[in-house]
Amino acid sequence: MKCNYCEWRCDLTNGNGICGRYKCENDKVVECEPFNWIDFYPYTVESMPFYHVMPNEYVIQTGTVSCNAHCSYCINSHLAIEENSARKLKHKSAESLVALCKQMDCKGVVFAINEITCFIPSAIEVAKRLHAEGLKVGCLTNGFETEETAHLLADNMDFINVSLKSLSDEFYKKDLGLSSVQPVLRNIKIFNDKTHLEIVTPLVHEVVENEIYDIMDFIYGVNPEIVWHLFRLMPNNERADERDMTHEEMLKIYETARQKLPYTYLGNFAGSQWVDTYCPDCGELIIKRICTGAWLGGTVFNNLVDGQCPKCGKKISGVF
Amino acid sequence: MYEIMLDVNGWQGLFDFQTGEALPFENKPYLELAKEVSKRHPYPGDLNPSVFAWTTDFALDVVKEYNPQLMLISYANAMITRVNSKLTTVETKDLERLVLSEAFRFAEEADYEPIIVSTGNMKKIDLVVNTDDIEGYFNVSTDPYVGGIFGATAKDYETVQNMNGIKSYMTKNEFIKTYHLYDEYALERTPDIILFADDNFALTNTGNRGTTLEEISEKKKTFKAFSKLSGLPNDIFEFRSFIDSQLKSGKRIAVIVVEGVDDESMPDGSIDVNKESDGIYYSEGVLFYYALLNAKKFNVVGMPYIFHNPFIKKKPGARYSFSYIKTDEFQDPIGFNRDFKTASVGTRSGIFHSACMCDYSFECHCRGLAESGVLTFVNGKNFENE
Ligand code: SF4
Ligand code: SF4
Ligand SMILES: [Zn+2]
Ligand SMILES: [Zn+2]
Repeated sequence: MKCNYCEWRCDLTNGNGICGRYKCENDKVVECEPFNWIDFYPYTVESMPFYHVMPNEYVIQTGTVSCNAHCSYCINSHLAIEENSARKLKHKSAESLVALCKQMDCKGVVFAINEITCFIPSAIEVAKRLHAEGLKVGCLTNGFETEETAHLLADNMDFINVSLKSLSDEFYKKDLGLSSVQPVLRNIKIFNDKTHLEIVTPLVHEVVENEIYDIMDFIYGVNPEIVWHLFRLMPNNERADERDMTHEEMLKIYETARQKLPYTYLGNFAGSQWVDTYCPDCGELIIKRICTGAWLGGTVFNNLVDGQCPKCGKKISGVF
Repeated sequence: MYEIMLDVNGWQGLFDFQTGEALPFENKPYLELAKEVSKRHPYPGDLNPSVFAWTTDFALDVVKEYNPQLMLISYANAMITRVNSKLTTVETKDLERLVLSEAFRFAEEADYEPIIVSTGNMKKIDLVVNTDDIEGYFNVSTDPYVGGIFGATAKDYETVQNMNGIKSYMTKNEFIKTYHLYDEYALERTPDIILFADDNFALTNTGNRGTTLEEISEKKKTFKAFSKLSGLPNDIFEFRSFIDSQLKSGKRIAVIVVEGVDDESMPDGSIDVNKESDGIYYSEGVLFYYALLNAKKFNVVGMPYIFHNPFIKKKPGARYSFSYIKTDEFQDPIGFNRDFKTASVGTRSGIFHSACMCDYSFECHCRGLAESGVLTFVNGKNFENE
């Protein structure tokens, strides 16, 4: 019996597959612990990060454990990668998760702690319940889903953030433990066609040196209005061996990328001044944001009028 | 003008302390010192063993460049490491020894009368209250034996009446009355229900991004303090006036907080200091630093409250974006606008500079173990006439 949620297509006849979160039951693939979550954190949607989604609103961030990848600089490795038998998940049904959103005046849920591929059925059920109540839902993913899962997600998520770390299979094998980047590139196109898409690319030096502009061109080819987050990594905790890239190097990438992809941002560090949205047509500063610490942030002001530039009327892509 | 300067691995930015707005560096000579010292000491990371030497070296550099009469230092990383890592007894002892040797290295190399204080014993986490049935948003406070429920449902008021490991609870109104809360900032941070755990149970949620705790502070009424100065007080709320009187007599004082060093590991001759008042344990974080440095209880006007309600920042005009918790009224912080020079260096991110507001307050800028370099609070008002 095969699991078809991601491209590993694990055989679950004798075990739980690579992520360890699915099993075979009555000839069906089911989650080992459906509706069991690591915890619930109210955060601004900017902190996920989603920059073109409901500025300054709070969402409940949740997730489970494990991952189908093994990234060398995973900031959630304590959940995604390390085994910890003492960790206990909390059960919360889709209904009560929706109720929590309402009680706390949150506009929805974002599955952002670990890889959504590890709990697809629960996530889809929560998404349906949220939509029935007029709330929104989004997720972060590494994009290694199968084509059918990608469609399922694209049809049920209001916004998706894909982490695109490189264009090279070699890099994906070595740094993520995934067999190829091709499914990720395919799924990016599926997501772009069907839902709001943002992409995160961590600025790892070998990517910066070899292919950062190729990644830019790939995104441009899919859709120049995709939101692209360039992520500054803190060498001290995420990749101990990472060379400290200079700020000027990162700024140059940001400035270059903005010529083609107007919604490019350079963030993931406190105080970043490169996280604001300007109108691609008239240059008006439309949304001003603040990065308060590492990944945390919010919106200082949002001048959009019905999702449009207040000066020239250009429609800004996103969920506004 | 009060400013925040950030140094993120070489990139430096200047911000308004209150509004968080970016500012031009312009020609403010007093910022040169902050820029240079931060640049010389990039932050190595919360769990990096070199962080202890980083703290000492940074502090010595500040003394060399600024030479304050009052120097405050916090070594928080033994605590942070114990909270976040599984350590053997030997590893814990090594960590405690390392912190103390760094504290004494500072005292020896710089010419100060040191007052070394711990925050009290820590212990391995054991029994944890099961909060799965709570429907609202459960959040812990600074004290691991106190928790709260925001957005409590009708069912939550029933659930808490019969929870294993819970000694007592109070509704928001009862709590406000009992502790005479009246500050708007504190009121809006008070949960609907406040839970007090039995002494052998802890209230924790998984931390930021699902991290679990290995150790918490022990429920104990005292911590240790060590100094060669005579008359060291035995109550946390008397330290401020003791320090002030020493400064008045012209002494150069260094208050050095060593978090995560157990009582038995403190230097011989350390005394017991009470940290409990009205059932509240001023054990750590905001509570500890405000009590020790400013003699402030949690319920006074403008005092940051012990619960962090993450929704508060949603309000328009949210302020102190880089400072974690801060109110508009500065409650006589120990290093603020004194008639002598003050400085602090520490790794208690977000809290230390708010509690002391020294002329220069340097600290790491961290959120849930994700580091963003060095943050400096600068009291520009002090330097206006220079
Ligand atoms: S989701 Fe998990 S079990 Fe399914 S194919 Fe992917 S790694 Fe294997
Ligand atoms: S895909 Fe994401 S969660 Fe999974 S290991 Fe990589 S960084 Fe961590
Ligand atoms: Zn415009
Ligand atoms: Zn820190």
